[in-house]
Amino acid sequence: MKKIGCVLLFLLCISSTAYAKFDIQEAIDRAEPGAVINIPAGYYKGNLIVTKNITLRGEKGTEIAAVGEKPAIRIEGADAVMIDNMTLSGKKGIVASEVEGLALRQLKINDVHSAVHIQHGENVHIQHVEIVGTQAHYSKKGNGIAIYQSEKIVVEDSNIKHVQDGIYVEEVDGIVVQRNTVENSRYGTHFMYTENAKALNNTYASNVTGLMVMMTSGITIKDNVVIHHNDMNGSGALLYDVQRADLAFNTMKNNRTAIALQKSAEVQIMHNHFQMNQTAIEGTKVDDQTVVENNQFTGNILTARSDQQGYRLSSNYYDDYVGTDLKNNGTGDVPYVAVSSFGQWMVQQPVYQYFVASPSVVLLTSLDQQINKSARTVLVDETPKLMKDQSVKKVDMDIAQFLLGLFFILSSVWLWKRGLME
Amino acid sequence: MKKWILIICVSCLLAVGCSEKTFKPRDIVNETDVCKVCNMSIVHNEYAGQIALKNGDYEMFDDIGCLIEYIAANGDEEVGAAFIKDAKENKWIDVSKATFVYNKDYWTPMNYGVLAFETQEAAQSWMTTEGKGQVLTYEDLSDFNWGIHQ
Amino acid sequence: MYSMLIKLELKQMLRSRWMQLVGLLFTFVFTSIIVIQQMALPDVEGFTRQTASFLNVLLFLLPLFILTIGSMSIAGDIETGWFSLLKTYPMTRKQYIFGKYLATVIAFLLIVMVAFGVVLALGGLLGGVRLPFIFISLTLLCIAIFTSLALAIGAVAKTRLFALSLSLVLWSFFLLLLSYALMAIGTVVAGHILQKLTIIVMHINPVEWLRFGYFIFTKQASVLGPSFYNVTAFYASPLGYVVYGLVTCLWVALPLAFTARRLKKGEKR
Repeated sequence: MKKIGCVLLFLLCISSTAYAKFDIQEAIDRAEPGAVINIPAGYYKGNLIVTKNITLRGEKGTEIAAVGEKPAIRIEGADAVMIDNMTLSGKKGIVASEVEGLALRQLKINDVHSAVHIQHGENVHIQHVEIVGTQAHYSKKGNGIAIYQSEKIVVEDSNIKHVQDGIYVEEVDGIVVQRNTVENSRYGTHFMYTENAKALNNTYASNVTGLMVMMTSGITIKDNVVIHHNDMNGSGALLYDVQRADLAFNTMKNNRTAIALQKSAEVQIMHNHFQMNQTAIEGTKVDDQTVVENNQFTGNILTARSDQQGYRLSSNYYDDYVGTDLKNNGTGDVPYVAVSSFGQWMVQQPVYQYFVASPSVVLLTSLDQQINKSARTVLVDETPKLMKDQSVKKVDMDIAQFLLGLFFILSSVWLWKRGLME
Repeated sequence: MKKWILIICVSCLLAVGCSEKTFKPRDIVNETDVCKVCNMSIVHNEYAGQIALKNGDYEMFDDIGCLIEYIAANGDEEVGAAFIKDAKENKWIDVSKATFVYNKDYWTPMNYGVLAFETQEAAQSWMTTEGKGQVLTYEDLSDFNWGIHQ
Repeated sequence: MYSMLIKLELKQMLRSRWMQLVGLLFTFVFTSIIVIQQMALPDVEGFTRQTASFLNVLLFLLPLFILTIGSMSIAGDIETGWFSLLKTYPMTRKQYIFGKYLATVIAFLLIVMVAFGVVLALGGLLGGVRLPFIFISLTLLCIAIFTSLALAIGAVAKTRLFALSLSLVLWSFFLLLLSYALMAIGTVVAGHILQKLTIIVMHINPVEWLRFGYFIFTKQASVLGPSFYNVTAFYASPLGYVVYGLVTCLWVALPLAFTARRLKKGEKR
């Protein structure tokens, strides 16, 4: 312990004096509780420790670089700390534990292994934080913002890229994650053992999985845009062992599986748009309180797949629905059958994925839908919706392409003729 | 045509034949391996587990808890061997012969707080350095209450 | 003399009502499916229902037409005695086969060019329809491989009717039956065996091979799933590209060599 203390002291000594004239740690140590420390622009190397209620405020060009394994700023046992407007770098950004009242604002955290780590926090407010991780495989990296055993957390307006999990939440009661963007990471936001969570208006793009929700009860996922999750094991949102989840008004586009439900209960999937996903919704071991209602399915290769149990589909719009609406009440006259033998095989044995949308499977699936329509018990929508106001795609003419096409037609016809003459 | 069928048959036999040997753990492929039970991609190799099925397939797990859950749900008739990483040495050990240490503060990917060790001594010395923990045997795990413990 | 033969073959090919009908049919079906699909759906990069249908239209139609027409053309030559007549001219068997091959390829290139032209022109008018480069190259590969296979079928069949039925059988075998057999096997064997079988089938089924090529060259191999990570990772490497090229060349060369042997045997008899 003594040794570590010595090393720490030594590090602190060289850190604050080596690069900039201003000694932040000394200023912190001298400051009265509640004080505001303004850090002038400059490159500071070191590992700061904050144990009292203060505000650290940087300006444009203020950068603190962590040395070694320790974080740039360590916050411990304080109850009103604010870190504002600065750049952090090094292996770890901020580590906070036992804090009641912490605000992180306008931070840029670059090339870190793990950026923000909070344990036993309450009333934590993180906003406008930009995190960029390193360019390694995600298994070799840490998380962007990680929050453990905490309460009352808000993470908003942050941009996170190239980390393991963008926002990792474990054993937290009450968290709002809103207006963030997470890209090119393993999981966009990862909830574990969390209660009363909200994910609103976030954008998740090109991660392995956008929203990973596990062992969580009570979560609202609303107005998010979840796109391009088409890695080997990717999903837009994956819910495992989740109770009472509400997914509404999200746009899920171009994902391998848009929403995957496993071992979950009371999940409501409503008013979402599913576009161009390989599979829109997959459900295994889902209870009968789970409903998929009033969603729009457009251009998905497979709309739904499940185990024998299935889940309830009701009043959704399907672009591949072929029934008519003679009663003109906006609802199709015959049920929509989403189940396909191939979809169910794929759930059982991942190797079948190889055949996805292959010629043989396409034929099989269309046969599937013709035969035994009434005999199906799972994944049947009795009241499929028909769209009344189809938005017309904007048409822009491409004259060059048109002429090229015309040229191709004419020249091949001419060649054909010539071939006949000679 | 006949040749192709022959090739397929031979390779079938080979594939089946190869799997009839003793069950060995395979390496983790971080790019593709996900936990069979909870679907998390395996990034913390030091806690990972795997089951070599009798038919030659492998199922990977990110945490000992998921592995036990799989066995509980599917039975062990198909299980050829089950392995878990030694928490200290980062090498594969047989689950049934391992010694386990539990404490709610030990972090694992699923936060079940159970670590595996090859020998009883290793488990003991781990608990001594950490100052906490409780020894469990493989039999204890099947009725262990998986989940977080406050 | 040699260029004469190619011209003659091509002329015959283009003149046949069959071929003209096929040209129209292919253009019509291809265009309508592509335009309808692409018009209705938002534009997204990656593997979606529209790219899947694009790929499937290609894989369904082109092999069917090439196999039937190509095989019937060579079988017809044998059946009508045209081939025996040609042999009285100073021309080797290889030249005959190669001429036939080239003529068929050129004829289908013309058909495809018309179809692509219509798609491009309509797409230009309506907007939102594109013709990715990978599809064009895949189409060329498809023509190269299946023309070669068609000649082999024709050489085996020797009569036009037999050639037609044989190519239909082979077509359904490549496109459907082999996959269904594999899927059925998959329900009883372990996952890793199914995976190995699938990899074998991928190499011995030209349709699967082209499909696999599509995923590799568009860098969407993840669509095939984690079980095939090793294979796709190999084929995505420079060495893998070379191997892909070699296997593709084999798919063209082997049926042609087979055709030559078959015709030689026929002569001796």
